[in-house]
Amino acid sequence: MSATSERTVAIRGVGTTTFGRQPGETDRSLAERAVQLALADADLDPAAIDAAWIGNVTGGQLGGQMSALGQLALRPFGVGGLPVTRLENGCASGSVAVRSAYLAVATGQADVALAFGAEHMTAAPTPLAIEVLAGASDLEAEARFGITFPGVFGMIARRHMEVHGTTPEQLAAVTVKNRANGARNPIAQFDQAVTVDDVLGARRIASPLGLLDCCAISDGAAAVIVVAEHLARPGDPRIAASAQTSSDFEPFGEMTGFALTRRAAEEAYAQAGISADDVDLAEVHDCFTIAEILHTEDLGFCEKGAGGPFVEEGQTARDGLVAVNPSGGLGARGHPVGATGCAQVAEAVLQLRGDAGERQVDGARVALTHTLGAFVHGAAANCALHVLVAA
Amino acid sequence: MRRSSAHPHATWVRCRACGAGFYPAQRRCTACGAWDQLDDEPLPRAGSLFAWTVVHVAAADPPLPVPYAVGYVDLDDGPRVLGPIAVDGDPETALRSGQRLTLVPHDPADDVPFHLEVAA
Repeated sequence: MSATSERTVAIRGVGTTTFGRQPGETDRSLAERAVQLALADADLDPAAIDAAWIGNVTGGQLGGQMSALGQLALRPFGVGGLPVTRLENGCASGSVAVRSAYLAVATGQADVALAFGAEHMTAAPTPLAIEVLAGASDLEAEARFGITFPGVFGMIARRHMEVHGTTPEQLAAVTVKNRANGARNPIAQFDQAVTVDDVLGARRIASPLGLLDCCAISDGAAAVIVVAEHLARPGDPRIAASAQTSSDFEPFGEMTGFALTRRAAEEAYAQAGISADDVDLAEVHDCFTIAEILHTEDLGFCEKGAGGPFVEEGQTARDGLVAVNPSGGLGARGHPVGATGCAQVAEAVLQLRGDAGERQVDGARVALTHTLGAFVHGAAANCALHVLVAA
Repeated sequence: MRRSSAHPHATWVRCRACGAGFYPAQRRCTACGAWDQLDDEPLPRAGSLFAWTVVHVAAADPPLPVPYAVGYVDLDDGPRVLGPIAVDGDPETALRSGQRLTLVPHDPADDVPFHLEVAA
């Protein structure tokens, strides 16, 4: 598919709530807070919003508020009458919301489009949350047998170890790095540093993965205000590429990476006119430690199979070859699933504006965000990828 | 158990026109493009373990006692299927990739259509 951007598209404002356990909040209250933060950041009249998409995955089964979640979260700002869509694409919901807003602005359907995402998950018992999330696999051929998402990535981790020699210490290096980044991020769920030994010694969740290989159930929301060029301010980053792919259901081969990520990256790099080498920082979908390792390979930051040494050698650290998950990623910032894609884009915007504080990546000019959602027949079902460039 | 459709039990489909097989079942043969040429066949009963994990934290449903093993098996002359793996003792030490497994079909009334076990 060729680039669809008929108009230059910018991001004028972002807002991210605190991530982590927040009793008393709901999908809706978190969404409202994120919208308020983004509107303040954009310095924009709420009435300017032409269309909105909200990513939300578990609301129907955990919180109960479905269908009108976005409309209800916008009502307190006096915003109504516009097209509002609640969007569910698994853990890629928030980033597909960003893509929807991008397409609306790029094609002239809107001058100001809001993408937001919210998820309150911690009020539910963990086994129920695991069950609801497992609904993002094939119920008939997978979830019914008791496979969980940690189990899926446990299988992938074992494959990657067997095929490429990746070690438990290399998996642990992902958590060590992301927790160190999260410690510099005021909204992160986890702000405590951990060691390789902490990760290796944690209780098992789905072998070979332990508790500290897994992102946590979380609460949070994020919002991104996408605008046409004439409404962008001088420092506002541009969206240089937006790509979305799904599983092609080809036989899943080695099960050590995701073809849909490789296809999305190829398309996005072509749209943006860049190569992987040009990316200064990437917010990627590290739902589990092994996931970040294989994404660094599939996104072209290193060769297939080299992701373990790549992280262990510090190449993905904030001052490395490419800063991967400077926000702390899903593992440390947290993964309120519908919010994640918007939070990734929000981090990219802060980095490109030079507003990322203690976790600022020096000289950040090109940022990539990568989100996966759902898992069917050995591969992820949804992938959304954006490239943002500094003004 | 959450609702799932009434797929034929422990079967896959094979194309009469070109011989290609598919699991889960398809509506048409995507190898040769033929319509109305797919027949249900029983899943092969033997295969090799491709990928596996031991789940220590389970979902509320299905309510399985932990730890339990789940894995993909490459069935001989058949598809790669995911299934629960019944093992004696600690599943962390009882399984290895490439191991020979047997597919055991279940009664159609059961919640799951089959399970896997280590071949005798």
